[in-house]
Amino acid sequence: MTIELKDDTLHCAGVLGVEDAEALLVLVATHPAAAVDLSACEHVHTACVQVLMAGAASISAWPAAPELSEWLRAALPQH
Amino acid sequence: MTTAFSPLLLQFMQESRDGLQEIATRLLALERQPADPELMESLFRVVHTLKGNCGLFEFPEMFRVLHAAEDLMSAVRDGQVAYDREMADLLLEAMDFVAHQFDDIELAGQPDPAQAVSCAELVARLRQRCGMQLAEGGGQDGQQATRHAAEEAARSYMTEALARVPPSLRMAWADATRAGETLLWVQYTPEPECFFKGEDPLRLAVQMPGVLWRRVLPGSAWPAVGELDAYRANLVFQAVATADRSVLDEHFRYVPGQFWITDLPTAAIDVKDQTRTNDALMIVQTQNDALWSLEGSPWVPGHLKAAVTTIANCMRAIGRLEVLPALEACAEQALAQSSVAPVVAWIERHAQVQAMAEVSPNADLQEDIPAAEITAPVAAAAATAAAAVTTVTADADPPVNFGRRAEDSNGARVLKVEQEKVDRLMNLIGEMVVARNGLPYLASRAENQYGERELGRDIRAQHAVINRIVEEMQDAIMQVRMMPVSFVFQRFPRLVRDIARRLGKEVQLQLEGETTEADKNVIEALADPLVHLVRNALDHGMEMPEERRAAGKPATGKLIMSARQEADCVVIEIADDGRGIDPAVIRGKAYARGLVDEATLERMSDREAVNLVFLPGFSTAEAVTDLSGRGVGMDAVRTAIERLHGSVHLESQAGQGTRLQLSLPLSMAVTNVMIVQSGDVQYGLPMEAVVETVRVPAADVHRIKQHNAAVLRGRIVPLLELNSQLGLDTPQRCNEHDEWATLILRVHGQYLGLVIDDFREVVEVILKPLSGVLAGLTAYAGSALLGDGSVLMVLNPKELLK
Repeated sequence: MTIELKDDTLHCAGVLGVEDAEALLVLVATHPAAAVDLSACEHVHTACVQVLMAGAASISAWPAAPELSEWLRAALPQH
Repeated sequence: MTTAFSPLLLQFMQESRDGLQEIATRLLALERQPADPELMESLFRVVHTLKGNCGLFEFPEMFRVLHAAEDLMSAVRDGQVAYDREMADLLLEAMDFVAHQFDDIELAGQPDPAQAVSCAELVARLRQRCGMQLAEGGGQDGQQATRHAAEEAARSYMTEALARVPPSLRMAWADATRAGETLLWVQYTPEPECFFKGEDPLRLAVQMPGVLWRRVLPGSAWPAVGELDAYRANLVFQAVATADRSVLDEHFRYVPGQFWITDLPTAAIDVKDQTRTNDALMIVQTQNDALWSLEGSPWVPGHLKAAVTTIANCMRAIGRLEVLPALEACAEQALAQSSVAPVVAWIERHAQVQAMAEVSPNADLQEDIPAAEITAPVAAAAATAAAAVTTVTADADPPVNFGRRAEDSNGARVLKVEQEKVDRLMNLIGEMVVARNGLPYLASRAENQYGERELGRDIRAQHAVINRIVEEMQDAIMQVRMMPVSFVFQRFPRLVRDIARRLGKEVQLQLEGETTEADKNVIEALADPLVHLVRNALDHGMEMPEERRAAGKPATGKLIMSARQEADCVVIEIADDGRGIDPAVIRGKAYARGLVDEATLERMSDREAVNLVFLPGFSTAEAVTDLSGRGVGMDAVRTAIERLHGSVHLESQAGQGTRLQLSLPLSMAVTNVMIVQSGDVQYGLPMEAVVETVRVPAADVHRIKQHNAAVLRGRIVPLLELNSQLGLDTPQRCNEHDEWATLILRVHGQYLGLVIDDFREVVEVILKPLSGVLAGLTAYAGSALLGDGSVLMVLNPKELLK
């Protein structure tokens, strides 16, 4: 997995595993305004989803996998 | 489930058996110190680990029982339930159930499905212990109440959630049901510490089949991002799915008690054909969504007030004036709390009301739960007792290593090796010993047959080197097979406790020298005899508390089990301070049962008399209990111990107690035998039976009736000839000084002389028991291979001289 901050967007790729939750938490806490791009994600672990939910992250792009994308949209309503 | 034992399963079984033992030990320790939080904590941890590991396999019954046990312990740990003897019994029973499952798995590769009934019963009792004190109701009712409340909570949560489904989607559901599909409501609430078990709830949700609608929401409001504990699950997954109930049950099988599946209420599907009402509800719904978006954002009271006014107007428009007071109350509460939750909750309850009124006219629609009480959903099966569990990494700061916790990676470098592998090493070293024994023969052949003295000497030198290495190797492998006595001892605290409770006696068990080691076979074979002896001590030896007090002893009896090493033996003692054994009673019994004749009794000292209890068919128990008293106990013990080449001895002081001493060889792998010559054949005799070797001058042999005897060191020793014992016609030969080569043996505590032709050397051999056709020849202990390739028959003096 990789998470990189570019143009005020957190680009996540690969499988966001449970061990990435801490790192993600730090990034979300330090860049509250940053959008999150999940388009390159194959899976996002529940712990990471919780971080995004708690941080009320705005998602700029959803993963390609339909079922995953649906569930994430249900968890992270965008306003 | 594969019936093949995967390495993972094997490891799980090994670790879990250790775990069960640890649990039992801790449970008993807790009985003595129920207030020790450390003990409870460590106990909880072991059970928790066991349960987590169990989740890797398909053992649903085991998992359920462990889960229930864990919940109960968690309730104890949080001080909601008091720990007492009954609870210890119950938890021990649960662990027995798990152990029983392991036995099944070992035998059949999977647990016995028939266990499901007893599992359910056990889980119910465990849950009852939890629920009983939590619901403050008695037993079943309390439990039912808890379950009922949980179900209610989940149901109301469903109702709220369905209220926010857009009507268009509900129409689609209605069409689906008309087409004959079943719609199910699924709610999955992962437990807080599920990440530590390697679970990923979202993955489980994503893989759920046939999902039509989904929602994910936090179980409790999120804290500020900086204070979020990322490793504590705090989500509720909700879905409407069209799938078979069994498929979904199967899908969530590994998270029992964390999911709730039910048929979708018709209310959720029925979109009422009342445009006006629908419109009103739609408006309310819109307001609801608007309010929802406010949650967590900077608080705007104006927004809320506007929304409440709109909703109130809608309600008036469709003639539902009776709900207005409640709405106003909720609005006030919302303003006071600076949160839209109360109003949102109200909307969710009442937006449904329209449809529900149709379905169940009796439904208590006016019931207004204060919004603050709307709690996170509780899956129906999960007792609310499962209080939030803190993560197990007690002192480890992040980074946390998942899957393997800090306490799992202990520094001890222990390898678990299967016994077969060690046995193979054992056999190989046995062969090696035999091969080594061949070298001296080779050396003497080099010297005597070929006249190569130099070569002979070199071979001997080489033999000395190989000999040293082989002996060290043998010792090393023996060490591997060594096990501490605690392996057997550890079962006794529980056993003693259970038996004492059944008999109504007070007994305190004291274990000493548990670290003493002996060969695995010896240790394992000790288990049954020791159980017999301990049962006897408790049943016959220990008096009832009042009887003890009357005798001026403390009411609580003392049972001491100790182990120590003496030379190449391990000595195990079982001593109690009970009523002891009265030699007069034993004499009377033995005589009455015709086990000994009068003359023998006369000669016997009291010390010898008490050892009569080891005779077959001797029992002094007045009543046959299920514990002992069938007259097989002590006899069976002696047989078992002698099979291990050990001996057992009993001492007793009437009124003071009894002491039993078992003495066993440290290892049974290598036997020292003395080779003797008789009738031109070589025989072996186990050294443990040989007291001394003497050459008795023919003149000193006295003939008494049919038997020969000699006086040795002031003791009359009967002399037997080996040839005649073996039924050979060859007479024994004496040496040129007219002396009989005699082995003084000690058999069953009596001395006798075995006359042979000549002594040979003492060798170490690997004694192989006779098998097949020869197995019935009890006169032989077994056979062994000698260095020159010949076979040595080793005699069994106890059988031979019966």
